Amino acid sequence: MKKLLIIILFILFLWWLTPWYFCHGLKQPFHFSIYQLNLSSDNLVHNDIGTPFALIRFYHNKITLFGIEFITSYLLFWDIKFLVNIISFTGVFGLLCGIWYFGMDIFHKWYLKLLIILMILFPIVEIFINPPIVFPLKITLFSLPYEIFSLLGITKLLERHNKLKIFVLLTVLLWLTIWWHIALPWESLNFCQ
Amino acid sequence: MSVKNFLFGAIFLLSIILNFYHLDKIPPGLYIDEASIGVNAYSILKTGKDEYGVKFPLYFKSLGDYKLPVYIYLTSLSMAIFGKNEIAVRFPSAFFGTMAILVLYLLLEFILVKDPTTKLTFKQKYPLLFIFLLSVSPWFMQFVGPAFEVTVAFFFFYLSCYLYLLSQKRKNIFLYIISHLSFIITVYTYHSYKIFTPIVLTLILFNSVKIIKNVKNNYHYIFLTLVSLVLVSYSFFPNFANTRFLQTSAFPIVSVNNAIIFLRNYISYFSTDFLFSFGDGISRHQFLNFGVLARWTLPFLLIGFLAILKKNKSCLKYAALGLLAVGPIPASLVLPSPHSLRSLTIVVAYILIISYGIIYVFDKLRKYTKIMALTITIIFVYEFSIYLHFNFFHYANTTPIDWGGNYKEVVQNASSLSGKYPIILIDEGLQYASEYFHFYNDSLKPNIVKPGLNVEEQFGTKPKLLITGDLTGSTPPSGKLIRNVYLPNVNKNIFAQFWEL
Repeated sequence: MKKLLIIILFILFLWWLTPWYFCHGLKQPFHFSIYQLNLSSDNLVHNDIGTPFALIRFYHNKITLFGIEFITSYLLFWDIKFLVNIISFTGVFGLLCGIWYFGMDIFHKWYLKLLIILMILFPIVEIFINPPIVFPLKITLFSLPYEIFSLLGITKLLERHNKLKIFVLLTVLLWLTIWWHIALPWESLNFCQ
Repeated sequence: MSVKNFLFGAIFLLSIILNFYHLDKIPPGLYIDEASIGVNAYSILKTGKDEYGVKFPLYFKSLGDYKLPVYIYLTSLSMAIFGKNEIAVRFPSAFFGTMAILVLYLLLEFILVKDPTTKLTFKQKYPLLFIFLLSVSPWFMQFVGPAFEVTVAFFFFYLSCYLYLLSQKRKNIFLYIISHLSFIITVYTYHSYKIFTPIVLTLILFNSVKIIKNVKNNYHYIFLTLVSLVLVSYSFFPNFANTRFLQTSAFPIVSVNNAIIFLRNYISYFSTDFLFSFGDGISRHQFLNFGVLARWTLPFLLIGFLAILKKNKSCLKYAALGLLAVGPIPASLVLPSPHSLRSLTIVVAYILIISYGIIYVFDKLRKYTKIMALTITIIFVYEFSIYLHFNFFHYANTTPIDWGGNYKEVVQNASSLSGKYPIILIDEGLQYASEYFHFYNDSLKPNIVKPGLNVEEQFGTKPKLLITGDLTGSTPPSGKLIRNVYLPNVNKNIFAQFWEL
């Protein structure tokens, strides 16, 4: 029963990605651009007429701006709205279960360590390099570590708790996920260009 | 004076300075709701009637949105002290926002005293850190100052919670009544509380029923809560009372998909995009490229969240997580979502978790206390000073239109020219101009006109003054341009033009 549920969930995750196949790439804020950085800097300095030069340098320097732009882009990949559109509602729940149950084990088991490293690194690669890979393939590869970690989290949840309760909870989540897909089929396109 | 009292005094003083400094100038002008509140409050003060002539109304028709009464009546009181000006309009928000810091401190101390799972040193540090972080939080600071009704509702909501808990401890029915009155006030102060307060009152009702099972003859508690629920429910009944909700509802049509739309809106309140990067995107609610929480708090939010989840049965855990779960419900029923103003109540939950995260990290990594404290202080001071720099130098330049353009100068110019021009006409393109005229100079009675109207036929041959928006590049009226009024931004864009007809 447990294996069947995990297989259903994996199929659901793949089905969930289908609207993304109509995309050509992620929107601009997901990527770092030196041109954008210069524009932001000009825009900020423009509003500082009459402000002492040292103060302008202190607040609107490229290092600070780079930090802000990087954090902004990076957080977009961990935004719950984005994650829900990549791995579904059930997937995000599984991700949280994974973080909760694995806790410090993450640093002791090689496969968990690998998944975490991939989840941390993939957004950085996309932000700075934006590899020229066909987007459907890119988004599938990108979502894979999240999906596997999420499935591992759900497996752990099923091992730890009263199965009936958890099965009911997962059924509700699955039902919500399918309903979401029907009600808001093109929601993921908000992140696309 | 103990160190604790000294620190509390210093934080409270900081909060006063941050909330009251240049109250009339930051933000740069009154936005339309503030002007409308001012007009109605002054009218109540002088005549006991609103701008439509209704005597002491429970709902103010105002701009057709039927404003709730509490803020307007409070502004009447403040106008009795300060006169009819920007400070008077914003004073209730700044005052109750600052007082909310005090109330939240007392509430948190009360919760922690009752919490047996919490260490003594934690109990001493935690409330101080919490009020400090709340005072300097962009989410809270942004709404304390401008005349946003939510700040007053926020104060009364947490005051009622505190008084309720106190009444339970002291078995004092008087405090219980005051707490319920305070709950009722929230509902007549800000719309979100029409949903939020009944949820809390229902929880109180369940709690009272539970108490009854243990202690006999305490039926008056249940009775009072039921009366409060009835009074709160009354706020839904007049048809026009729901105008604002109907204008902004996320569910214009009845559909099975509404539950999913609600869910989508609900999760947006936990989005990092909203919390740390862009806020809700409404310029009146935050600065460009600023979220509602400071970026440096992100790691502590995550750590605090996990640590508080792992905490065993603790009042603090239930308060923070309960507030976080229930807080976004009212704001998720309307659009746009997320909306930082409508969800201000949950800033407390976020700051509770962040403060918990900071103390937890310091507790776990005692060896590195000094280096961590130094690093966090440097990052905090830098980010907060950037915030203040935006507040004092950028905000007026980037958002003048959001704060009413430059209507004050328009009215001042019209007043100085009114002797020469007995008839003042305003082009209808200058939206809400008449409300600003009522606020800044009620003796001028301008007429709103449509473009292309034959003014000679309608208003005779006396000299006329026509005030329009920026007509550069479009067909000017058949008259002479007398002067321009500019926006207070760097580009000095034209906001209004004065024409002699």
